[in-house]
Amino acid sequence: MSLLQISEPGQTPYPHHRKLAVGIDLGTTNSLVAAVRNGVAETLPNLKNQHLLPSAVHYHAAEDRHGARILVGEEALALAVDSPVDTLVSVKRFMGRGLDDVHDDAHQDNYVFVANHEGMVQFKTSIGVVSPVEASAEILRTLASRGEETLGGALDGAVITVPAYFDEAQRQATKDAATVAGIPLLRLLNEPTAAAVAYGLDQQEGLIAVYDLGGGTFDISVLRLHRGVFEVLATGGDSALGGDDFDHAIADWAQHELSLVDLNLGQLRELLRESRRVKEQLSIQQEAVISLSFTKNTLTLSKDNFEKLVDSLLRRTIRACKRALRDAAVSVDDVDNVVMVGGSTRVPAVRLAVASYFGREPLADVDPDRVVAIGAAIQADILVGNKSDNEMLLLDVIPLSLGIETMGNLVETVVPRNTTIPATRAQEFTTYKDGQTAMVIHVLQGEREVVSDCRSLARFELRGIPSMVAGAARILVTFQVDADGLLSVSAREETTGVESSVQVQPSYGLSDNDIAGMIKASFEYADHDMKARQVAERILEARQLIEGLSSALEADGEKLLTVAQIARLENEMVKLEEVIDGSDPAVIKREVEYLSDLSASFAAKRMDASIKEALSGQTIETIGSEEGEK
Amino acid sequence: MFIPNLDQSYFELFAFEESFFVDNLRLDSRFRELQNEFHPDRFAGGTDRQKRASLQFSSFLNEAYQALKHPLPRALYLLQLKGIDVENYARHNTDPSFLMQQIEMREKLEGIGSDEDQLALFLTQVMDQYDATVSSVAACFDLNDWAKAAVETVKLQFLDKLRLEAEELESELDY
Repeated sequence: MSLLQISEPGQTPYPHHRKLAVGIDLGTTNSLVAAVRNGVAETLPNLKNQHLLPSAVHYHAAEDRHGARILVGEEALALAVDSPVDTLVSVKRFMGRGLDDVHDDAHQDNYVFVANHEGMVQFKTSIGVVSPVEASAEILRTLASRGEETLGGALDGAVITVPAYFDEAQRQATKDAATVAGIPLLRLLNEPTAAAVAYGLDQQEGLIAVYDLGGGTFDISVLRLHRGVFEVLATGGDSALGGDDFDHAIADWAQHELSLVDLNLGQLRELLRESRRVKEQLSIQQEAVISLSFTKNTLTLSKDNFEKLVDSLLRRTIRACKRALRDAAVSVDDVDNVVMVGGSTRVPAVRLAVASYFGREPLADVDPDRVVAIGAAIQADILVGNKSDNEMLLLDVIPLSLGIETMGNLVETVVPRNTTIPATRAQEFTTYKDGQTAMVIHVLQGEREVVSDCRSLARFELRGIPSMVAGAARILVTFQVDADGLLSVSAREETTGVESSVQVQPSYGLSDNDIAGMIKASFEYADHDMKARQVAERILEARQLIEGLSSALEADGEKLLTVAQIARLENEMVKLEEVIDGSDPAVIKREVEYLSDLSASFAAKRMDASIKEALSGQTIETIGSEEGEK
Repeated sequence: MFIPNLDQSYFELFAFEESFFVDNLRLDSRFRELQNEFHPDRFAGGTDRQKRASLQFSSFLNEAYQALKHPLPRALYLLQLKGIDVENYARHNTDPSFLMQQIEMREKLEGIGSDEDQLALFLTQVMDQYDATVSSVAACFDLNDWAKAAVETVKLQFLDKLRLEAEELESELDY
């Protein structure tokens, strides 16, 4: 049944009006736009028939003859060697990241960074400070107008792809870029999922592994397809690993072999460009020659030698594949198809490594550079409503665990990684101090157990908790992750209903290395974490005991105990304070138990006294009210 | 849009009897049918109210599906429905021989170090025990013996954790 169509004056409704939708692959090295036209999804070229738009943006101080101060794509890339500081490439690496994150990034050498007021990365260029979001918006704008020109009208919707590994901050930054560019965003879509869609694998049943080695990121996703439902079972990868690293491996080797020292930014860019060219040549021939404008010496790189240079990088990708399969609880033999995505999968050594691990030839018929954009276009076409009968559905998972800080510097996981989204999880927490009326909810992301090892996403306060004894308040913290993977958190005190919430818009993104590193570290440090957790729990226990006992002594000590008894308890409290600093959980535990036993009779006396007081209190009140009634 | 009921039990949601025996194929297809109808992507152009309702229901579906799909969370959920707090129960009803066995298996895992064959053997043993325990959990539920089901479920929890640890160790050994 169709709805009545209401049209604005002056706009004629077409009998079979198709809405205009595009899929955009916003890549680290190149970006593309694609659309479904006459039932076929294809990437859209520019007027020069080029499909790939280099993800480069150049800013110049003076207007050029067209009055423009910003160049995007090939023209911008052409200026990268001569004016590196004003030409931004690989900005995707900096989306949603703080300045502190990029200091140890291998690729930071080419830019002049400044932080904004929230500590986020920004680039200093001749026209002023530019954020990664703004630079990405320029790329999106260029692609969107290419789409509008080709399709002949304003866009009704777009799907933009992101690596499955992108965290909250990075997804939010991508959404922001779409907003800045004025693009009506339908959904963010994980790149590997888009690739599987492009292969039309929704027409089949089975397990698919998507191996996506792009310029800057590596993703592995395990999907299950069943009657049109794409279910992402697990994602993993290494978001600081890509074809750029192959280039860097060659460049580092060449720099060493040719004894090149003190290269300036322009020379470094040239060396990288030459390394990339050599890498591409080695996909089709046995050796290639590196020659640079600033040195007479040349250098020959053989295919064998190249494969040795990148061997450890390839092993890292295979290791991530193993982990993803494990998270999905499937074995490598269960995988029915392996899809190759990303320009770097053209490197024969990559295909070989993948084929040998999965025991089958990977699918690579669709251009690995375009496959993601094509899948995004298909999904955009469905979401915008052009294919209402289409049954395809994507069920995604979150890449990193989400949790909150609890007492003693520990992280309590609320939503574990690889949980299918959308997801809502609630967990109850309580106060730890008598009379505590406010609580800070600190939202964290990562796999480690200790707060300082996870990434802080947001922090907010719940106020107005009624004054109660420690442990009596019931605070329900609810995490809600929507279908785009964006998080909102709320906290509610159950007895009074006071509420507080936050839409997580992190001012601080994870660094690429962090994400991969955090997962890895959670396993490497599992032992250490366990011990740290034990110690932290014991310390917490000890402090609570000391605090409780001190306030009890202050209130009722003199009333209920002898001076000697008080002295003895105080003595033991000092002893406990001393062992807390020692961080041996067994010793702390022993002292806590000793002191608890010692104070047990005091606690019992207090209980009796407070019951008596409560009873007598009630009597007075009753009398009072009776009098009042008279 | 139909506003789905979020108060029903996971079993009611999928139109199953409340039982440890779940037909996984039917569960999968029911889950996908419902997601297909109510996933937020189906309401990308809908009203805010529709979007909110679909987000809630779709989340609830995911939660229910995960809880019923695998034996361990399913057993925990069933016990929860019966009003049995497994953690609390375990604290007061620990089987001493199982405790000993736990300690021994843990020591064994620690002793394996980087011996791949030993680890593979260990994993097989754990998995065999896991499968056997699933069967005995099933038998307990079949007899409506909740107390014994809780005891066996605690064992299952331990074996599941041990399996995870062994698998992590295995993936660290490769490469």
